[in-house]
Amino acid sequence: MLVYTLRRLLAMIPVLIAATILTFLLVDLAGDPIAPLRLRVPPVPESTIQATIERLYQDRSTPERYWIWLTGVELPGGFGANNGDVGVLQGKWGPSTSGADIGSEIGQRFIVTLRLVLVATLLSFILAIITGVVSAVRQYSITDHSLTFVGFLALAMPIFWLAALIKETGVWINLQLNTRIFFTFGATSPGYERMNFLEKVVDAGSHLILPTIALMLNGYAAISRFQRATMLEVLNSDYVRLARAKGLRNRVVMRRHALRTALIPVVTLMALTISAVLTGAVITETIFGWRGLGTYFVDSVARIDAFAVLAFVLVSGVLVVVANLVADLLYAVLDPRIRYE
Amino acid sequence: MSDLARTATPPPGTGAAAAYDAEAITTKERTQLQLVLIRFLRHRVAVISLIGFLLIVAFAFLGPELWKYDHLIHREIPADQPPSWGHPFGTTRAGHDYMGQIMRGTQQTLKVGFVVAIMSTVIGAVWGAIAGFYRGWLDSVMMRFVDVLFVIPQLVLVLVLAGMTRGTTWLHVALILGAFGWLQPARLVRSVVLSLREQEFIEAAKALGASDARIIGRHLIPNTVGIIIVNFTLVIAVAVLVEAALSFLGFGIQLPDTSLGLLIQSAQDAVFTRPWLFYFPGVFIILICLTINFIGDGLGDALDPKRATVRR
Repeated sequence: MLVYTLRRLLAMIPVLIAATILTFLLVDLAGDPIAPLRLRVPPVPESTIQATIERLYQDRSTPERYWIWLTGVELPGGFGANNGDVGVLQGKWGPSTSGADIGSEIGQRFIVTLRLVLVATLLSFILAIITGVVSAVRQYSITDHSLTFVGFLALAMPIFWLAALIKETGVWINLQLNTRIFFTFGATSPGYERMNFLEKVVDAGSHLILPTIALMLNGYAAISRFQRATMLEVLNSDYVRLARAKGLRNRVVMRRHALRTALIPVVTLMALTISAVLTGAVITETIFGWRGLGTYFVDSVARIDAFAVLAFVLVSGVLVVVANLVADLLYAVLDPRIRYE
Repeated sequence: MSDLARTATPPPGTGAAAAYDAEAITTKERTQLQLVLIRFLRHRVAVISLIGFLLIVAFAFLGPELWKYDHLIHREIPADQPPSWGHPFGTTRAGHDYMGQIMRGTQQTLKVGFVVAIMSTVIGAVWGAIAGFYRGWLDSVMMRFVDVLFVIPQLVLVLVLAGMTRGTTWLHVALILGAFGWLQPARLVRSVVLSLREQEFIEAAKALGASDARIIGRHLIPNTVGIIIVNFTLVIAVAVLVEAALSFLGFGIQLPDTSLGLLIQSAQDAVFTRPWLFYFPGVFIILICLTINFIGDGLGDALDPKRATVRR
């Protein structure tokens, strides 16, 4: 298992490198980050433009810039010469067009986004498993049909529409009651740094409520449908019929025989869900005005900030790949038939 | 086979006369298409959805020809009117007739959805079939490429391209979405092809001296058509949602043209003050995706009768 984990972690590296190369090419082909500076009125002096070009390594070729971004190492012959502020492998994220330090920005925002993503993923799994199992046990009942319809509705609903609706409803309730029940803007209150731990948890938690509801939707529907199908398959299997034939009570059959097996395959959806929730976070953060990774990414794209976009792709890529690995390992732990050598 | 058994027992309510004709019915020859059609028509929700979807398509493509206002600002249109007979969906502050805008927006959204679905289905089917048929290193290389693209969240790829190229028309948006929409179909088709290629009819085709291109084009891909069609509908729904998200973030279709996502974006703080601006585009997106998903569900059951008992 350990060897398998290590091998998978090693296999991650080429995939992530390929993903960043691809993103880098896309960003590079797509636009000129200096263009807004050139178009500024009144015109910026030529020396400033030259300095910016050099600061962003825009005077280098594309392969050289990627090499600089990845390693920050100067090869003999001057290839990859840099100002010592770049090189992901050394933990330096490179210069941003905005001038701010990418590493510290990503660091702060990562915690904010991770909070949202993890809570939303966890809750959507719990809710989806419950509704999926109930749906399967009461197949073709009114409960099943309504839950199925809710699932289809959730699949059909644009997340930003629901998020905006939830946010405005929160604002409306606050206005009606003349107090602040729901926090509808930002990830924390002003003055968050000065709070003690308990206050911080309460404050961050109450800011999480509305965005999480909006974000859960993304993963929920798919997982719930999948859980229903798995549970149905198990309920129709021979060993469950045998358990019933032995005269076990329905409760025991459900809990000890059916449910345990039916919970396993859902684990495989974890990576997919994390990826979907990350995508949803980009939108949810925009609507609720969070200073998280999602909004940082959108701003970076608007600024044509190659190194910042790469930083986001790398962080979200690692998240997805790790989630994938954890899912596979968990699957092996839960299902003894699966062995990784 | 299963259809023979089913037609032999007449559905309740058709009376005794039908029972006498049972033999006549079973001997009637039916093409594959007819069988699929019959099974699809039996799926009531799917049929209702199909009708609803066709109505939406008609609304989007024929509506603008018939309705007196288009999606642009007109001076004679009063500002901020709630829905009325003259303006069934109300008007905006700037002086748009909202029904005209919704028609246009739905049209652009649907156009994007169809182009994306066609692109991703064609690319995905060919990619998956080639990878699955040849196996070996070609398969590894092709599927690793798909894996790499899967690592990056799809919205990220699309946003990078859309944000940087400033795609302004629906075709831009459609091409960008289509360029990355084929990953899932490719995986799906490959997995089916992997099991098909081991079957006897492929061996027979090889023995007859058929070329690889012919085997892929005439034998493998046609046998995956059922899955491809169902996936086609799913891709439309996803594309509609992603296009709306793109427009919402400001990287999609640009003013003065419009799309459903753009309409929601400009109405996002009007939920309680001018609700018609917020709800109509949202409801249209939901209706499009909902009907498409149900149609896909019905088609899935119709094309693969074994699946009908355990859905999705």
